[in-house]
Amino acid sequence: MLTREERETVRAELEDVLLRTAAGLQKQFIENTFGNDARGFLSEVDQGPATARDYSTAIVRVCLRDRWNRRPESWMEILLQALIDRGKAGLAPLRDRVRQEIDPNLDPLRSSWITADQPFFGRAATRKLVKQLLDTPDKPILLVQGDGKSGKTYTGDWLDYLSGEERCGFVIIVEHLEKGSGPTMTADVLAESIVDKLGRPIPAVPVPPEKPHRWEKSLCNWIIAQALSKKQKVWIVLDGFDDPDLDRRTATLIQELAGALMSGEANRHVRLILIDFRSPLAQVNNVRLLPDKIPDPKEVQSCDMKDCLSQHLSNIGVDAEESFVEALAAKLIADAEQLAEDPLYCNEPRMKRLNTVVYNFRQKELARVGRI
Amino acid sequence: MAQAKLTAADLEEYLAPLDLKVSTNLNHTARQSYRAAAAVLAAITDPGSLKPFAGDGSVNQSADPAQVLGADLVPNPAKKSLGGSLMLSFDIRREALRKLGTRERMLQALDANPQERVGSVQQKLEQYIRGEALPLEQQRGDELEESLQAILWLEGLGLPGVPAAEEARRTLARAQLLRPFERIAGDHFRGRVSELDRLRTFVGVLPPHLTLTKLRSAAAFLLGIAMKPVMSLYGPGGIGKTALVMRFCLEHLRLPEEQRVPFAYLDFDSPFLNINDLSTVATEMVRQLTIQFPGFNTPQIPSDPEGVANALSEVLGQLSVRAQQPYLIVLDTFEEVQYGGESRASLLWVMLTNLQRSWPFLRVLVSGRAPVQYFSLGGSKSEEFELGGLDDEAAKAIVMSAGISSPDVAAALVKQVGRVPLSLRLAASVVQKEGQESGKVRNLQTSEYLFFKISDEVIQGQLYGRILEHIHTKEVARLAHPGLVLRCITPDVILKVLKGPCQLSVTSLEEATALYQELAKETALVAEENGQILRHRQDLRRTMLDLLLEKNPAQANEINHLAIDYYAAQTAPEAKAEEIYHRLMIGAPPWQSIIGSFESLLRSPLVRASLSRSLSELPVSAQILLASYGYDVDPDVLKRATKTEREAHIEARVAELLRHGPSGVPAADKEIKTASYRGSNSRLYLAESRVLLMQNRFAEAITLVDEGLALASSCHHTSRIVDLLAMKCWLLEKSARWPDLSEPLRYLEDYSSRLQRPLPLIQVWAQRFRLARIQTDPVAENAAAVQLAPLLIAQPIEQLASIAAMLSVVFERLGAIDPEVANRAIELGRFAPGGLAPIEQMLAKWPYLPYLPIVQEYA
Repeated sequence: MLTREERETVRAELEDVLLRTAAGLQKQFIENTFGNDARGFLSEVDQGPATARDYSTAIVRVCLRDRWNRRPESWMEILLQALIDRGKAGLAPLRDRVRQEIDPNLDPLRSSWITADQPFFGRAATRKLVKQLLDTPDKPILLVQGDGKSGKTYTGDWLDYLSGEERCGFVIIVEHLEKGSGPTMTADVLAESIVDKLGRPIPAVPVPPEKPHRWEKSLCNWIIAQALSKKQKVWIVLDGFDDPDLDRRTATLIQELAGALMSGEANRHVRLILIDFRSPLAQVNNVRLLPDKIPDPKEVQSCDMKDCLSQHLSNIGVDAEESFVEALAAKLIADAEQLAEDPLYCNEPRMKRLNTVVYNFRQKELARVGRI
Repeated sequence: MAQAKLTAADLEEYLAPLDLKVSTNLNHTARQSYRAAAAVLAAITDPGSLKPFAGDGSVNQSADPAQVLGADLVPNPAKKSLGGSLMLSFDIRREALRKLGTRERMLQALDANPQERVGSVQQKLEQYIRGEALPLEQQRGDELEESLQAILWLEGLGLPGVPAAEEARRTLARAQLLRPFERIAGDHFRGRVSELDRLRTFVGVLPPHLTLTKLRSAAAFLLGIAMKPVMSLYGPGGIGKTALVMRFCLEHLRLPEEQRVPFAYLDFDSPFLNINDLSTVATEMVRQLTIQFPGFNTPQIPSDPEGVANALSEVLGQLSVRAQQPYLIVLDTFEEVQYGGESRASLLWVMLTNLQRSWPFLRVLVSGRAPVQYFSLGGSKSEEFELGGLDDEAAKAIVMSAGISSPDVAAALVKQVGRVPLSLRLAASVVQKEGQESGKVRNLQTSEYLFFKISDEVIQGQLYGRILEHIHTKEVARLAHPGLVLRCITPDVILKVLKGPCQLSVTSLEEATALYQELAKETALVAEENGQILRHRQDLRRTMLDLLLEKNPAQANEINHLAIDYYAAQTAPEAKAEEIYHRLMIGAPPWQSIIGSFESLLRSPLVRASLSRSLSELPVSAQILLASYGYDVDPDVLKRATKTEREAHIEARVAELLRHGPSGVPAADKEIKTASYRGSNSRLYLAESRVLLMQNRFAEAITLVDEGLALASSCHHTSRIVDLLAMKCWLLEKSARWPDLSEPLRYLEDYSSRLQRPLPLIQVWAQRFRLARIQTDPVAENAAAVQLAPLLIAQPIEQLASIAAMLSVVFERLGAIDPEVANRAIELGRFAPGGLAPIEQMLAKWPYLPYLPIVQEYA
């Protein structure tokens, strides 16, 4: 939303406005600006006596964290407008840019692989969809589908990486169901695991009540309540849960979760990413889904790797023509094909071999320039 | 000097110092023996102490077995049931087990790591390896899950006594289907003898329990193949409807396959079902049939309604050969559909009606809180079956399910408070809180003047008061009373709404959250849902709200006002539903203060479902107001409405039914015929003409519209005149009476210009545009296009959406020459989720109805 410098400018301007507000009226200024939702802002600083600096830091942080989720105006736009109204006219261009939903930062969705040390080839569509998932609540569910061994699970790892505070700032829970493990993944096991990974205490898992579906409903409510208690947005990634042998009640819980995200606070705060999930979601209209089709791994060619390698070279300070990047990509692809003859890698999927070769290259390069 | 950029020619030199060879240094033999050892373990707690199994007695122990196994080890997602935190990946395990090959070698491999042989799945795996597992049909439900897991690992390896995974799946699926039936209506089920008999007679299979009904039932069985109307079982929440229908189904599930009555139990509380998507309903029906009749040939269920109907027809065709029994469809918790408007089920009704025509053995039982209104099957109105008070056994069962374990205490409580479910649950809660006296609630007045029994409401009031008395913290008690004037409570609501009226000392959100958590413990009063929201229990609320309003009218009023202010500042539809609820409670206009349009909010499915749940709590005037938007209110309330209000109700119902396409027409036709009065400003001419239009009865519709126009004109009801003229113009176009169109279009233009109603004006020019095309008059066509362009650009997109069908040709022509109009078309596509295609698809199926807000169905 804002660059680091802009963030500090806005914070300083807000602090200035607060300092010029009569003592005791600072909270009122926040309440007037943000209405009923001011609690979200105040709860960040209400632990004890707060200074104008505390307030300004917390408010800017909360506005940034919410990005463009609030409609029609984002919190940042509301804040900037309030500051402009208080005489900070210089912030008008910033407000206009925020209003247009332009993010000046290096797009973490595009550049992330460098610091994640894991390549993420192609997937331009996935990046776009994840950005949508990040910024808007109207489609809270992402379905990641692709052919076998196309690297769908790897998407979960990538999202996990993205969740860092410095990048996209959300909490991510990745639940991976190993092939052939469906029967023992019961609904309470899944719910407990999610809540545990949220870092929440598990005093008592809801017990099965009388009516069918009600247990799964209460498990779902429990998960949502725990997710809502986190300050950041929560992304739940379920990988491999379309297993035909999955416990029926676990399948019910997933349907409940999907339905629960269609409205209310959960709609704004929680996202669900279902990897390789092809069963219909009965409570979710198709238009509320973000379907993502991962290309066939066999079709990943050097052109898909170019983006990734360009970022790497730029990251280690090497200036290269496109022809160099193309040749390097072709060479690495050829190395990956050769790896298929190695007994250790012959049974591995092609995407994994490609990842291995590129990762290996990156490590050697980092060693060469003295980074590791 | 800047360094030159690297090019392709530099690649070899660039890579020369790098050794890009991927390390593949691994001991393959060691890996195989660790795989063999891990393959017979469900999961591994300590990979560091894992012993390998080579089979030849050699032990090639590695310092780091986890490193040797590498990616073969994966996290175990179900630690609770499998024990350790890691496990061998599925394909590697299968391969390793295949290499082990025999029972003996697998047993030897097991001996290598006795420390890891823990947990119920491990036991089951070992039982199958040893050939000692019980036959599947003798295993319990949870055991079957473990068995299936072990079988998935061992299947096809030639071990004797390991059944096929498919057989295990079938047995498990049947156990899972039976599980809720056994839990709710198993052997502990008591009473409801005559009600079960009535259901048996309706379906016409199992011998009825009561001798008296045997004769009737025999006749019913002989005639069993004849079509039967739907049976509508209804009664208040908690009276035992679900238990009754489940008991009935269970009786059939327990029969041998050849005697089983096939059934589908469809609970609309299930997240697998969506009334707006019939494929979800059909999928569940087929799933259950496959479990009841293994080997049933399952058709693919497509997503379109027509395909769904064909697939189900194929299913019934198969059943007619196989079972020679009726096929029963139970639609339970049907109130979930009714809250959003029963018309949503019209597609389902049409499909079931058509199916029964071909397969008369189809039986449909609908169970909900109110009888079904529009569903007629077999040409007859539904057979209503009101489920009344409980018998003694069922009443005792409710008390016991509410936590009273002693049958004697349960019997005494039933005797003391009667057989009303709410009273029973409250009494059980009080006894749990304060103990009992000779099995009864202490000091509970249940009769006045020795023998005159006091009303259930008064008994419930006393019990409710007692529950409040037992809330230890005074603030929590005040939060419950009068705080529960609100339907839902959150920590923020405590801080912003309830703090003052309930005299709470909370000053921060943290304190409010603590108070919230205390209230959440009062499960007799509230239930937590979907995050941090406490809802007043529905059955309790109906009775207790009056008490709250009576005892603390000023506080209740203050809470209502504060709630309106609180929710008015929010935009989410859930918040709007609460705002409208509290406005309706106190009759607080102006509606304009509600963000967005009040009318469209009332029609939105979420708000409607939310308000419908609380309809009976609202003042009569509010209920009548909602009736005029098509809400299902009590007929007694409707009787108190004025004629105009009743007309509005009928019109809204007709509009709602027609929005669902041709499937809603029969019910709409029936609804319109309930009107006995039509004044000069009646809305019903338009409503009925829409019904006729849907039936392609254009001439009759035009006559009717003319009749309405004559009356409206005589009294100068100009707004009504515009509506009727718009309909007339459309009807003339539909019946291709182009020469007759010019004059009414001129009137419509005149009236809508005077009343400044842009939509009819757009209709005028759109129809003139098409008329000119028909008459091959390019000058007139251009003139119409010139008039239309600015109108289309100026109009809010959501309004244009309601006449989208009329505009598609216009957009096609104008969009090509005017970029602004083209933008509007794109915006319109965006406004209607999924673009214009679904709207056009939908409209292709039935005629366009002027100004029905069609798009919201998709929103």
